[in-house]
Amino acid sequence: MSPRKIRHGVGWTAGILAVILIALIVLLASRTGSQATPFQSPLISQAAPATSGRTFLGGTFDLGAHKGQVVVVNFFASWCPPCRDEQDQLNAFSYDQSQLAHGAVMVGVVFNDSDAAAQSFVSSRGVTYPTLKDPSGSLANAWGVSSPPTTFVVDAEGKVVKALVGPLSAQQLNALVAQTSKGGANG
Amino acid sequence: MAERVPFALRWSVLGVLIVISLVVGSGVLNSSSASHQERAHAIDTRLKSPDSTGLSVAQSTSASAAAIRADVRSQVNQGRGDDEIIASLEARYGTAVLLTPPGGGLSVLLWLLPALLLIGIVLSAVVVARRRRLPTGP
Amino acid sequence: MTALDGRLLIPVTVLGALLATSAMQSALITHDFSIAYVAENNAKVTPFIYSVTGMWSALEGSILLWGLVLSLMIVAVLFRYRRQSTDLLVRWALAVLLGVLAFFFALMAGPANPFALSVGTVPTSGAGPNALLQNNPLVAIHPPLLYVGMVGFAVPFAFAIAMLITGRVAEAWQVDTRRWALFAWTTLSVGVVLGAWWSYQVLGWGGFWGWDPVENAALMPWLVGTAYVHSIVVEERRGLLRIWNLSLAIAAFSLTILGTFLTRSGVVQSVHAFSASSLGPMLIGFFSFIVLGSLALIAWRGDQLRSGVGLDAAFSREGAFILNNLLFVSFAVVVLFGTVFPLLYEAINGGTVTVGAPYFNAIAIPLGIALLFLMAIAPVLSWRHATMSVALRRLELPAWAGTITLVLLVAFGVRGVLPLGAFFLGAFAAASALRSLLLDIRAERQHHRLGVRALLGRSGGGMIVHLGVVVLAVGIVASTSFATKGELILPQGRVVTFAGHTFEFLGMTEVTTPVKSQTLARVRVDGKGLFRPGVSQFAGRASQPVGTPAIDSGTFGDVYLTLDGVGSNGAASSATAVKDLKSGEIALGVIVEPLLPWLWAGGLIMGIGGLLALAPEVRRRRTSAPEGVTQDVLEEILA
Repeated sequence: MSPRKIRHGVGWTAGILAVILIALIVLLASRTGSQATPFQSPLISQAAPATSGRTFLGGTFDLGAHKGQVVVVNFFASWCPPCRDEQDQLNAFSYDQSQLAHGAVMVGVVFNDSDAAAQSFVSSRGVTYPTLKDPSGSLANAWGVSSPPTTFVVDAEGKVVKALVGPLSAQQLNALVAQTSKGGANG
Repeated sequence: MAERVPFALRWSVLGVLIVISLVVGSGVLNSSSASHQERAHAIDTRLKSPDSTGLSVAQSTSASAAAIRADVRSQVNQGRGDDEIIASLEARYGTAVLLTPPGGGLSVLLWLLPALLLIGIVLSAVVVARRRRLPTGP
Repeated sequence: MTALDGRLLIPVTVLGALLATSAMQSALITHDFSIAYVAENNAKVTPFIYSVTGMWSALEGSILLWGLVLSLMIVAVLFRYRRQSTDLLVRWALAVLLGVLAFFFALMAGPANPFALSVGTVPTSGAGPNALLQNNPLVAIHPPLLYVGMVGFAVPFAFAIAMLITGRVAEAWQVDTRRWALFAWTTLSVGVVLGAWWSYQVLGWGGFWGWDPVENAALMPWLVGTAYVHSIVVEERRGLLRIWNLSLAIAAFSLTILGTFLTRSGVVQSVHAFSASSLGPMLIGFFSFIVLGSLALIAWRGDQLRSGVGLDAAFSREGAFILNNLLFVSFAVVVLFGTVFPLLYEAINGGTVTVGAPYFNAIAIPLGIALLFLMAIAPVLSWRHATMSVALRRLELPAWAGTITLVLLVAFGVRGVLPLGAFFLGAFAAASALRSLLLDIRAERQHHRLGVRALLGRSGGGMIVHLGVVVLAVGIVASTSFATKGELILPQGRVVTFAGHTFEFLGMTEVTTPVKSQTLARVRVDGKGLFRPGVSQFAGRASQPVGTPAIDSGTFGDVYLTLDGVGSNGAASSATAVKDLKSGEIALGVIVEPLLPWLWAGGLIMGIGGLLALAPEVRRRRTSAPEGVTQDVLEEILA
């Protein structure tokens, strides 16, 4: 083969490879920066599954009892780094909402974790909102949770309106709740 | 040259032995339909356990995997078909519960890529083999 | 030297790396929690060994380890090429290596600072290492070995770039650096196998490979590296494949960077991802710079990369090596695509999908079969032009070895086309490798030298590596195809039989040390050994209990035990209480895995073979025609 042909052949191959690699790089770069992403849960627009049980604070919690309020349900585990990252934000969000007249209710649910570890997580991170235990995994099963942190927003009528995977910020949550309340008011 | 016949014969014997052994070894000669347990296990290997391990429902020892295994077993015992059972779990957990993405759409690429690579390899082998048979040019 | 020679500064980098490493180690060993990294990865009660290994248990320390290994490697390169130190190409290679080192040290100076101070009050005790990183001593070996392997590929990469920049692509620098690549490949192979062994012992599901993104991240450079150590032989012998080898050297190193990105950026979920970080953008940026820059260089020098000769025939040793390369590189591409596919799907369709073990196995199994076959026939193919009749003559005895193995296995009741096919090909390939070794040993003896010298060098070492691969493959096939899994309810004191073994539950025991508290079940297997599967909880903030399996290892298989449940007995315990069990009973998970230890033995043999292959090559000729061996033996049998 003539040198020119070789050069062309090499040039073309290098060019095609460059295009493929640029596509790969763009794909990977656009995914970095962990943040919560919405996922198409089959529960959206459906009634939220019955969720009740004993909490770590010693009391009980029942989702059904909070009709008329927006409820944010957060599945977490002590062993999951993004859950640890977002905990401060969730605490802040819960506090913000508690200052409002018709604020949202925050509830956490333990996912695939031991009681002891979850208890230790809840106490050491200063969690003030109720946290439900889920020893048999039935709550996780009912909500279709496969990896923490997974957060659901339930509107005042008890319908699931949003599902997100990944660590959330207080700002995001406040915005989501505001959206949900407005949506409910508009019918 | 004289021993060429035994040589070809020896290789034929080898070939026959290999084929017979593989046929017998494949177990087609003593077939039995899959029991309920085997069917449930086969379905379990196609589902991802909803924990952080990335393992199949058949492999994971977590509580959620056990819950799904029990669910699949009961559905199999009720007589539901494999596809039905898997569809029911997909409806509850989303497509991520399947260990292999459902066919169609973008997922076609997953199988297209290896197929194209294989075709490419075979073609190059053929091209190189044939090129050398032609009389060498200047 | 009239001006200050920059090379004098290279040992300074080693000094810096050593200083930083000693500082980190001293902080870990003395439990200095004023440093954030130590507070997050070490606790007051952490034992010495896990304090030392804490250095690479999380991101910042791993970067430090990488920097240390790379700086030492650069000094080794400097020493090895000290006589060609005035050569511009060598200097460019060193410059490239130093550029990579600068990148990693820049990471440490900035976003991944291992010495960042703890925020707020200094805790009295840290969080301790992740539970999975402090219950097995392999944490001391696997990561450093893996890093040596990955960093090792930087050397052929640097020389490839230097060749492209100086335009001296016709010279044999890639061949010259082949020993670096072989050393890197050997350490990476052993590192990956050790990683599989470690996760086998620790993760509790009885398996050793899950096609997890982090595992794939280490596999991809290994696949390309395996292709490279084969194709470099073709370049050495025939001068072919120069562009290809340059590209492979660049690809292998680029994949190690991409692998680091996948492991550390949090882009993909993984059970092996022990820390998430913000280094993603920087790593992907570095990766882009390397690959796009290299592609530009290759395109620029395209016309000079022409090999003088071409391939003579497809059916030849070169042809087999090229096919080997195509298969390995294709597999690496498919693994990469499968690993990033969920990201692609999410970007385009918005939903989440999983690409799991079934997909990768579906690709790996046919590929493994093809490679076993190739491994069997390649040693008998001549260079330049092989003839079918000669090849068949040479392969006859190995084929008989394979067939007899197959017939015996079927006769003993082994069933399944794929496992049987794999065992047949394994025996075939092993016999072919042995044949090659024996002929070489005989040739050594005929030259009045020690037969064992045949094991040294590329061919001997290579055949031993192939033997190791067969042992490994047989272990994988046997343990995955014929494993028996069950969960036994064991009341205390009664002997239960399962899958050919007996199990007796003797009672529970609690072990508490300052580091961990363990709830263990004492189980006697086969009336002989006592094993203690259980659950361990390590001291530290928010640490979850981890299952601690127990393994009864034998030459012909493993019995893998996990404590799946304890009957509620009213006492507090960290093992999951299962409702159906009566008090005093346990649920014992048992997995019987035939031939699984052959995996680790195979890995060891591969490592030994790789080291032997590093020895200087001894040119030898087999004086009697190799096909004569079959003739002689058969004549003796048939006479």
